[in-house]
Amino acid sequence: MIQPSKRLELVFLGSLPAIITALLTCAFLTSKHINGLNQFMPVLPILPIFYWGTMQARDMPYWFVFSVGLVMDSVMGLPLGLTSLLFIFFLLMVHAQRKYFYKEGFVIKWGYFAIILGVANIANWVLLSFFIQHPEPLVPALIQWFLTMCLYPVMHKCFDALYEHIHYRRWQILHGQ
Amino acid sequence: MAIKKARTTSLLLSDKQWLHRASIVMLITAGIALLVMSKANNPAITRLRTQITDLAVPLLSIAASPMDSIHSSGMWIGEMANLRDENLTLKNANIELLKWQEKAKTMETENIALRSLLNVVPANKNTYITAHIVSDVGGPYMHSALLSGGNNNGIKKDQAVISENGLLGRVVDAGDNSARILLLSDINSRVPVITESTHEKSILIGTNTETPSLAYLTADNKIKVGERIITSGDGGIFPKGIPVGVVSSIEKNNVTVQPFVDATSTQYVSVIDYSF
Repeated sequence: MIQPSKRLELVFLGSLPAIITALLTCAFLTSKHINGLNQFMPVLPILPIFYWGTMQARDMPYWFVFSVGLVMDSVMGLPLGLTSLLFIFFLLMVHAQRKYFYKEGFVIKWGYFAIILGVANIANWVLLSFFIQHPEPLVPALIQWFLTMCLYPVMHKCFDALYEHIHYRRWQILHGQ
Repeated sequence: MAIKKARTTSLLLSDKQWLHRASIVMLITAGIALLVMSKANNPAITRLRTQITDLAVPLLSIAASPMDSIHSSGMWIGEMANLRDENLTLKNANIELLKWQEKAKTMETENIALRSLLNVVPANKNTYITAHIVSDVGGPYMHSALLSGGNNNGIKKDQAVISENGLLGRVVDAGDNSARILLLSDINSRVPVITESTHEKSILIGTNTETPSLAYLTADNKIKVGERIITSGDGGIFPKGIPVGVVSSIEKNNVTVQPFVDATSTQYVSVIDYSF
C-alpha cells in the first residue's frame, strides 16, 4: 500500500516531462528581444516530445502534445491546428520508429531525431505554403531545423539525468523504500 | 480458470489499445477540422484563438519578465557607457529644440487665428493605450506579436500600433486581455503610405522579410533611395503622418522600405484609438 504523499510524488514524477515541455514552450514563445532570432529560434518543445516519446511514451500523451501545438498556433498566429497536427505526426513517427533506435547509442538516436524532425518540418512547410497559397521561404525553416538538431545533444544529456532520477525514485517508492 | 483470466486480460488490453488508437484518430480529425475552419475564417476559431491567448498572456508575461530585465539591463549598461557623449549631443539638441519651440509657439498662435478665420472643423484627437509585447514576433512564416492588453483596456481590432520610432503594425485580433499585432513585414500586411517629399501614394506590402515593398506606384514616380515614407491616412485605419521607414533600394519595379521600428527589440508600444 503506497502512502498518499508517495502517490502524489508518483503523479508529480509522471508529469515532469509535461511540465518541462510546457516550460520550454513558454521559453520558445516569449519575447527574447534578440534581432533575427525569431526567424531561426530552435523549436524547443519538440526536444522533450522526442526524448520522452522514445524513453517513456506514457508520460508524453498525444492529447498533451496536441494542446501544446494549439497554444503555439494561437500565440504565434499560425493557422489553428497546424502545429498540433505536426506534433501528433511527429510523435506517431517516433513511436513507429522507436523499436529501431530505442536500445541504440546516442548518435543513432540523434540521427533519427534529425530525420524525423526533417520530415515533420517539410510536412509543416508544405501544409503552410498550401494553406496561405504562397511558397514560404525555405532557408529560415532549414536553419531552424539545423539549430534544433544542434541543441538536441545538450538537452538529451539533461533529460537523461532527469530520466534516471525519475526512474530511480519510482523504483524506490514502488518498492517501499 | 487461468485461461479465462488470460482471455479477460487480453480483451482488456485490446480495449485499451483500441481506445488509444481511437483517441489518436479523434485528435487528428480535430486538428484537420480546426485547420479547415481556420482556412474558412470561421468566427468560432477566432474566438477560440483569443480565448487561448487570453489564458496564455499572463503566463507569457511572467515568463518574459527575466528576458525583459536582461534586455533593460543591457540597454542601461550601454547608455551608461555612452553617458558623456550622449550628454553633449543632448545639450546641442536642446539648444536647437529651444529655437524650434519659439518658432512653434509663433506658428501655433498663427494657426489658431487662421483656423478660426476659416471655420475649420477640428480633427479628433487620438488617444493612446500603452501595452507590453509578451510573445516573440513570429517565426519563419508569420510576423505577428501578442500584446498584454485587450478589449478590457480599450484595445480593439484595426487600431494602429506605434513605438517611439514609428509604425509597427495594426491590431488584427483582440481578446479581453490580449491582442495580436500584424507587423508591417508580414505577408498579409497592407498599409496605405505616401512618400514625404515627392508625395507618391502607394501601398506598403509585407514580404515576410525585414524589408517590405511598395506597390501600385505610378510609372513615372520620382522616388529616391533614402526618402522617408509616412502613412497617408487613406482607408481610415492609420492616422496620417506616422513615420514608417525609408526607401532602402529601387530595382526595376521593386521598391523596398527599411522600417524605422525593429519589432524584436521593442518592449512597449502605443495603440492609437483613432477616429477620423
